[in-house]
Amino acid sequence: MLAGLIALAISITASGLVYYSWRRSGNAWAAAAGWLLAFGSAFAWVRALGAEFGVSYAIIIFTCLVWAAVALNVEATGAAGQSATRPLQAMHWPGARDWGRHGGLFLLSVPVAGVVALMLSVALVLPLPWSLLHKLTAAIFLYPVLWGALSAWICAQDKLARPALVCLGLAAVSALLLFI
Amino acid sequence: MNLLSQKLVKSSLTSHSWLGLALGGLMYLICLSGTLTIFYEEIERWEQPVAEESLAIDPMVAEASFNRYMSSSETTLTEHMYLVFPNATLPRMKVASDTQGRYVNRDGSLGEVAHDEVSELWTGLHVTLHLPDTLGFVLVSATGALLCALIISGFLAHPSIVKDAFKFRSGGAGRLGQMDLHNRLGVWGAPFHVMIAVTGAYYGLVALMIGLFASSIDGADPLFVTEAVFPAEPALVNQAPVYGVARALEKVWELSPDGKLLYLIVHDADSDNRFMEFYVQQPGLLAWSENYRFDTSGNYLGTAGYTEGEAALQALYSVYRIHFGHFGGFITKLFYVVLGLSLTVVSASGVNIWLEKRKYRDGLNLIWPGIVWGMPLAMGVASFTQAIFHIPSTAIFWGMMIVAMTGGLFVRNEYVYKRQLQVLTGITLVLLVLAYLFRFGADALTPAGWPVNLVLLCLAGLFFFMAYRAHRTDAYAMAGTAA
Repeated sequence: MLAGLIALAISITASGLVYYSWRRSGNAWAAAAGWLLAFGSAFAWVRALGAEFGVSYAIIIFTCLVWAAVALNVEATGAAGQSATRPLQAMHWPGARDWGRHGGLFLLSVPVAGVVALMLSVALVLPLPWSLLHKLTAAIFLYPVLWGALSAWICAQDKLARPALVCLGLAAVSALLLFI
Repeated sequence: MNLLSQKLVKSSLTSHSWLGLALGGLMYLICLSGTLTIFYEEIERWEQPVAEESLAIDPMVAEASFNRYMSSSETTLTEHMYLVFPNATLPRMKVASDTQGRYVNRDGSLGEVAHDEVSELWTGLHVTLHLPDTLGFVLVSATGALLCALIISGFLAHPSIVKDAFKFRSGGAGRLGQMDLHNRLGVWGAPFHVMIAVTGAYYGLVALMIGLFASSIDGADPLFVTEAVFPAEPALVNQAPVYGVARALEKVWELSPDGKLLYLIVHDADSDNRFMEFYVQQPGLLAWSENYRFDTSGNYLGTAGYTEGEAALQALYSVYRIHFGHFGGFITKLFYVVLGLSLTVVSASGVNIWLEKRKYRDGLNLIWPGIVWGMPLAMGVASFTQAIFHIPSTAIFWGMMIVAMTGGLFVRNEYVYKRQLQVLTGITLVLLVLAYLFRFGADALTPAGWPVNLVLLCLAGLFFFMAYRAHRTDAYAMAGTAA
């Protein structure tokens, strides 16, 4: 109980310092101390609740406390920024060219990126000197992050040719590593 | 100093917008239903307040009732058969097959047919979007992976992340307010959102991963790789279909005196290879359970090793509890509601920003409130028909969603339509509580019934309040039907 209260106090201080540093236009000492305490609070939470629950709580509590600080900082600005009188018009349906572009982007960023990331994540972990279980676990957690990163990059491109070529290249290299 | 080049910020914003628009609706459905799913046990208890409740587990009573259920002519044996033990959230014992179940009375006799369809309705929506299992799992998991894409592109598209760290201009539904809400919730919630994305992606993608590993390792087959993650089951023969539950239970309590007994599964119950597996949650660990295995006579065979094995195995078995917040008791669930709702709001506000940014309004402005505010209404209506009349309500939910999405096209003013949906949701929730009181009488006021009813009434009040406040303060009502 006491250990939990100490951990909570550290999290509150950490979020308070981070908020204070922001209010003081980037007070570096307060910011550094706040972030240090935020990471340090994980140890206190681990001591209070054990390693697994403790790390989870350190993240959750800090996030909620920071949101509370954001809520404290609310500025009422009315409904600024939106236009109440914008005209209502008929739906604009994209032409064939737009459909093609969006369809291609979807194919590349979702299924193609998914397959490429799957191959790449397995290809990256297979050569590691770990047990099969560890390789599999690493690949399982790496896969969605790689897929996400690849999708984000593909969607940021102006033209589809470059991401298509990169996907093809990554798939080819991964296939070489996996199957040859 | 700005670490991100303007070009990178611009292209990241393009990426974030495109992905957000493509996924916003789907993400919203998954996040809102996921937030509700945190309370699936409470909902299941609420669905049937008439079941007898007790936290006590008498091994002999448990054995007698389980064997009675297993040998009953009314029971259809399936591959897995279950004996679910009572816990503080759901203090009732249940015997079940893969498709149906009965609650167990305190004296061990078989009680009411167990109804958990409302709970299943919302977990099903979250886990598979009510699609066929494989397709649904993969689709929802892919959304988890693409949430990673949104988080990455969101950070890269946000050059003033430090400068705006605590800025929040509340402007009703105005663009600035929506932007600040979206960015503050998204940025500070990112560690939790990444955790949800990665753990959410696990379920549908693990099978693909195992398949690719198997085909990439010389001489390996999928079973070989599977058994690296899911320890092999004991190979038994000639197991009688009479279960020594009491003897096994005593052994489980001896082996894990502080563990929380979850349930017993009889695997291969429809064959002579059947065996019993007790799932027991271990204190202080996030792994779902340690599993104690027995033959049907109650002879101990060993553990599956989920909490005693390598750290990687434990990490994999922790995914479920991390994703759904089922650790640390009720307080953790409340935190997960806040965090889950934050992701829901981020999903909705992202699309709101895009709609507000446009110089014109069109059908999309009218359809979107039907998704955001139509979903609680559709959930309320489907819960009503399922809980009160036991009508299978998946189609009712999706039908209501279609009606809600198209309704705005007739109202032609999204702000008015949003308020109408809020009021209708409030009314639906009040009617649900009234019908529940009428149907279950005094049982509706037991600990099984009143907490959820109270929450439903509070939610109804919240929807009425939001509609009232919007009516009073929104200048949007002036938008009219300016077509």
